[in-house]
Amino acid sequence: MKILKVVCENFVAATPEVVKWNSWDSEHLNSVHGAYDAPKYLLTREGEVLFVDRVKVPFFRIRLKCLVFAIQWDSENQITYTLTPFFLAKNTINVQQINDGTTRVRVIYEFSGNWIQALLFPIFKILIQRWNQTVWEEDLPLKLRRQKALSYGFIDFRGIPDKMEMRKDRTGIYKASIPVPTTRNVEEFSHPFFISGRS
Amino acid sequence: MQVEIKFLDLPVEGGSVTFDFPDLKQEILIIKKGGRFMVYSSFCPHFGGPLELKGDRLHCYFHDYEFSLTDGKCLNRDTSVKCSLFNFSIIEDGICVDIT
Repeated sequence: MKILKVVCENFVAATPEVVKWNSWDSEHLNSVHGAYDAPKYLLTREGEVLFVDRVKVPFFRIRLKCLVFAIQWDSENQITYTLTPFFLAKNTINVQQINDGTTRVRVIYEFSGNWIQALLFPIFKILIQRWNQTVWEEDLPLKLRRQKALSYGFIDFRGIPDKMEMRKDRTGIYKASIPVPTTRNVEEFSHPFFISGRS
Repeated sequence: MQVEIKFLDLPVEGGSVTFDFPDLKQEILIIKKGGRFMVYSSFCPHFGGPLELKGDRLHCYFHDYEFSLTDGKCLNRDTSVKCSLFNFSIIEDGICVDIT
């Protein structure tokens, strides 16, 4: 078995919890990223999800049906396994605060394949780097906006508090719920196999 | 707390303008529709995304949430979250918005 490993690194002026919020927010996949269809969840539980999706391959006009399992392994690492008709992939998203205002996001992409598939690894490498850059650029405004909202005292499902004295900077105390809660009756949770371990 | 915005800075009919007040920790979206101004918090009440005017409703592209211009209610999700509308008064050279 051959393994392709690609490491991509980016930096953002937001807290690690804001990065995790973005990473674990299922509802934005369809509205923000052209590469995803609305995922259909099969299982969600504190810190882990399993879903099926159709992901657009960079440069090509095809979509691959994928089964994706994601787990928040520890406070800094999210691990995702993706099974497609052609390969199995493992992504590790390492989120680390490097100073007061900056977080480093390092994604380690690993693909397994036989020797025939390995012939395509040089092309895979380019596709993965392109994929990472596209997704990063699409997500960046969300992270920065979320950081700003929290710094203004934003409270989820409510907004900016009415009273000035309640508008305290919440960036330091905010902890992302994993996976991120959604509103009721959303399409993503309509699969007949869906089960949730979350109350 | 009130803020004043000059007529020259306000949107034209069918348009919208966003104003940020970092010291007051609020960002507002002013729109003009049917000859009337309306003022909202520009933070989507769901997760804080930027609200924009889209046709006859407010839209947040983060999660495609849509809100009514008249009462701020969410129009396309099963939720009671509402966007904030602010009162304002017309003054000599603009409008005065109460954002607290």
